[in-house]
Amino acid sequence: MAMPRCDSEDLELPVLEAIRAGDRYAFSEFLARNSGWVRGVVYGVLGDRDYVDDAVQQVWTAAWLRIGELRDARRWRPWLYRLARNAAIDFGRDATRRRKRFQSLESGTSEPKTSTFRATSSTSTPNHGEVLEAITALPALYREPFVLRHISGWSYREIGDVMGMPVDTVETRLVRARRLLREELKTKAE
Amino acid sequence: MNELPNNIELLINRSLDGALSDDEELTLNRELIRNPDARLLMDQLRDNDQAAALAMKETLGEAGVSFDVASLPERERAVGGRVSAWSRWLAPGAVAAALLGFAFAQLPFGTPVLHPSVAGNSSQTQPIAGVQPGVRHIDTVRPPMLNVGTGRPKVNRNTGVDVFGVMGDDGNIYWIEVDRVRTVRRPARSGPF
Repeated sequence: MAMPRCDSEDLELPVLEAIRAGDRYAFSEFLARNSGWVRGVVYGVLGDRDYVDDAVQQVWTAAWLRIGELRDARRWRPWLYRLARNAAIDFGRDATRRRKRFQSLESGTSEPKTSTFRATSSTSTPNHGEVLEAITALPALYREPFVLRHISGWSYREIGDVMGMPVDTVETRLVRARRLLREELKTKAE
Repeated sequence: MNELPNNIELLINRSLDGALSDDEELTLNRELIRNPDARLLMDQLRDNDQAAALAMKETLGEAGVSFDVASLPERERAVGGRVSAWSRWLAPGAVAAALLGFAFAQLPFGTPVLHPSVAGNSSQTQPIAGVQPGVRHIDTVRPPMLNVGTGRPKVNRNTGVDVFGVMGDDGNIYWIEVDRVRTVRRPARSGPF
């Protein structure tokens, strides 16, 4: 997993210049290095594994098309974070609308979907499913920094830089996320 | 397990995130040695962290790497730098504004229009030199008929000759000419309105 660099020697800067010039190979390299945390952002917002792939496709397409809007190349990470977050929010909204329409067509004959992970985690152990359910149950406010911390291994400062919030806020949200997750898992175990 | 002080929970979180200072590490280690609840919390949170990271990585995977960049759409190439959305309407907008301004300039706003009542009683009025109906008024004399029917006589100020019409009790209109009147005082016996 690529670790973010917040120092002045950002190795992505020349890559971004190449992407601006239309270099698709540079874009594929950039994408490979940053795919993990972008997926984490989308998952953190949606809280639903089923939609992550489709939403991430939209994020990268938008990043390719809107790279010209990135004025300060050094701020590419917050810019990409906002793209991913907005795409995830839009996608989640559309998905909810589609789901409601589908449920109304089914007129309640189908069982409501309580967890996306039970159905899709055939390769995961039950323990993973429970953990993912507990993460999904977290409020998005806490889930987003929690996912970034655990998928990307970012520091408080790096998370704060990307999410545009003070380090103290990041730390507080992580503490609360862990507290809620622990309570949720304890409830499941009982 | 008893409730731990918030600062111990905070230190445990910092420890898991690798954000402890040397002093904080010392404090936390002391607490972990003497307080089994702190050790239990530390173990639980560490286990949860590991399980969460593993579950998320396994579930999310690295599918994004397989994104097909060749399928990305072509970008519009900006010429001469970034152009904001509104600026592309600047030139057409300027042309439209100029045409609109030109059209307004052609409208006969300054041309006096004869009031029907004035036209019908022209025999009762005094001729006003230099003022012709339907002609853009000359010098500073305003068409007096514009004042008729407004309810009160109006004095045209800053003119060589102020001319205004008043309607008499008999229904006729009387023109009154006053030289160099610069006040707005209502003339005496100017009528019942």
